[in-house]
Amino acid sequence: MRRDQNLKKVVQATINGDKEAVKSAISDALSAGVDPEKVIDEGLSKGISVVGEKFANGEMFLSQMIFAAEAVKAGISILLPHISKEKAEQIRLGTVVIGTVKGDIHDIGKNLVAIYLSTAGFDVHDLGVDVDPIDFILKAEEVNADIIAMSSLLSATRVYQRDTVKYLEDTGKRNKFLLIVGGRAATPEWAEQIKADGYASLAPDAVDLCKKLVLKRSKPT
Amino acid sequence: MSLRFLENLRRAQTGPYCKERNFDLKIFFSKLKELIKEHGIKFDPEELVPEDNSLAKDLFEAGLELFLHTGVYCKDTSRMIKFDETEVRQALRDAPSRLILGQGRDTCVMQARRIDGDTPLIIQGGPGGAAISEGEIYVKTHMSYVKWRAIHTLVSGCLPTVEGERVRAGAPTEILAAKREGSLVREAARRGGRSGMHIVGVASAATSRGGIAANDHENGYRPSDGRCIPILPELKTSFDTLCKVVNAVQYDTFIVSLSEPLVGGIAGWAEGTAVTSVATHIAGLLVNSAHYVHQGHLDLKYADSVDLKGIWISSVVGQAMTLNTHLLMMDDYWCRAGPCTEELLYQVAAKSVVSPCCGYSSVCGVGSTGNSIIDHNTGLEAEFMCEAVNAATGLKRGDANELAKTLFSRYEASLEKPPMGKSFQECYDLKTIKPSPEWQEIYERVKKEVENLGLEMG
Repeated sequence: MRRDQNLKKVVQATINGDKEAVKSAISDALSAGVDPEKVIDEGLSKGISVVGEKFANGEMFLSQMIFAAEAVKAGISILLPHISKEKAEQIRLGTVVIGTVKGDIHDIGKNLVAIYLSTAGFDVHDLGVDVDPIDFILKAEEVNADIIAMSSLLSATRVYQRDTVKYLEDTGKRNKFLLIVGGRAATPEWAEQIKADGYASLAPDAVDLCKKLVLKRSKPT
Repeated sequence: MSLRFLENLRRAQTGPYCKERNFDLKIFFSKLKELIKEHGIKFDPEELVPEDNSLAKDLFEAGLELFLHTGVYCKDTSRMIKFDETEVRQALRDAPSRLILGQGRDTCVMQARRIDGDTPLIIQGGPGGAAISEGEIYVKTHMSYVKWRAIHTLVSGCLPTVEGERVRAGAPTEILAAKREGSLVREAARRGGRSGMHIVGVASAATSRGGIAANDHENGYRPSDGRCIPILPELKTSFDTLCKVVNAVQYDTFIVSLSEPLVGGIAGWAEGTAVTSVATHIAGLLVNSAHYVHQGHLDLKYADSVDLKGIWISSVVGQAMTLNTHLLMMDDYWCRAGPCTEELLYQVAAKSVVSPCCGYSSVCGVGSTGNSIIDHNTGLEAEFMCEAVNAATGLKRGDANELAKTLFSRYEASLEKPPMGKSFQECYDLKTIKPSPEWQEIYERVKKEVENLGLEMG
């Protein structure tokens, strides 16, 4: 099979959210001598980008994005041993711990952000819902996270976003992690008030914000 | 029906087990996709209010099948609370078609209506869960709704602080806030001379503890009031939510089940959300023991229901439920713009022309700015909703369709970046609790323009 056909197969399998088809297409591509980095850039990334556009246009569902993201994750894990260290570092943008705060069990928006971050190249650890402030911090320490991302939908629960910031300040660990907030109860003013590093209302904005924060942090001062 | 929750609890502990992710993707989503295709459910932006009853029939069947397939997932036990068709249809037959809400001279009657019917709707006004500053601002904001006699019932806002202390869900401050909210809304009703009004809460109670604390015959939430209890998106519940049901049943108060599927979430877009909404209405009856159901789907991005998809979903779900059941439904008005803007009033008007002809028994609003900004809810937009809904009662679906599209065109351009407007304090006289001249002028101007479009606001 021609190499561009191999890549098209990877793209289509990603769009279809078919994990097994992605693995099989990648295996065929590698056997055919396609550069593994090309498989990522012109296969998986292209596929997930199409999915993102179709979701934004209302042509695909959130569930389909989840399947596609999982397929990309599976694909990347096959390709990682075959790519250069520089490329591996390039595609891995950082580590994010995400969750919905204590007392709040809304998660659909948070799940969407987690998928977008994952497909953008972040290593995402999703703690689920009703997450205690301390648990955000413990997980972030465990996985050496760059960012803690907290979602809150109710005004009675967004205060726990501030609690997490405060715990870090009180234990002298504030500079260890970047903190961003989102969810219907959070606003840019609230983020500023609690001294979070940023606020994002929509999933694509969360990706841009995380990329910006991680880049800023990695630049030598 | 009142002991339904014990049976539901048993099923929550014995029903089919599955991981939540599998429930979302394999059980819920796969079936939903299949049903949309099988029943030919299709969103047409040109036909916001379809007149063909076959869509309503198909939508109801799809929603029912979805519910029978998924049941309701209990997050605490990872099991599905499932029902068979016989018990669902029996519950729909047994559901109340008429309710007397409130007490004494402030009672009102909510009743099942029909498509294109001319029976008046019940108007529920209030901040509906939005954050409202504590103290006199809280009382006066609610009084701005109570003052309008045409608003029959009240729905409370939530307290973000109590005596300056931030309210935390599950913490002692939640208990304090829930009790304080009850006494403050009752005070607002009392000052407005309507102490027996049916008031729906408890917005400050994120958990069941606050809900239980708010039970107070004398000075808070009475049995003649109502409790909002959600079916969690999508088609889920939890022990804490079931605790709210138990409390409400034992307190013998009205249960208002919240149906709030998310457009752009797991349910997909317009078609999936409409099917899920029908299933969620049924779930509200079977699992939450609902007396009436809030139809309050939300856009995941903007937390509103006033774009074309949102208006269509309200319309078709209302029709589906009305043509196939006598369940009492309330159309919830989630708007993007804020008070003291003409965009907000046009958004309210677009929804208002649709609710009556689609069979809703009542409407609730207004969720200005999607309830995202503190103190950005006022009685005047609810009064506008009231006038517009009353004017639209008796309108036929075909006429409502054209009017809704025309009204939508008045705010379409502002949807991406809607004006957030002004706070209650900025657009109301806090002594007289009357709208500012600016807000009143906007109201009169938009009312006139809506009248010129063919809706006699009166």
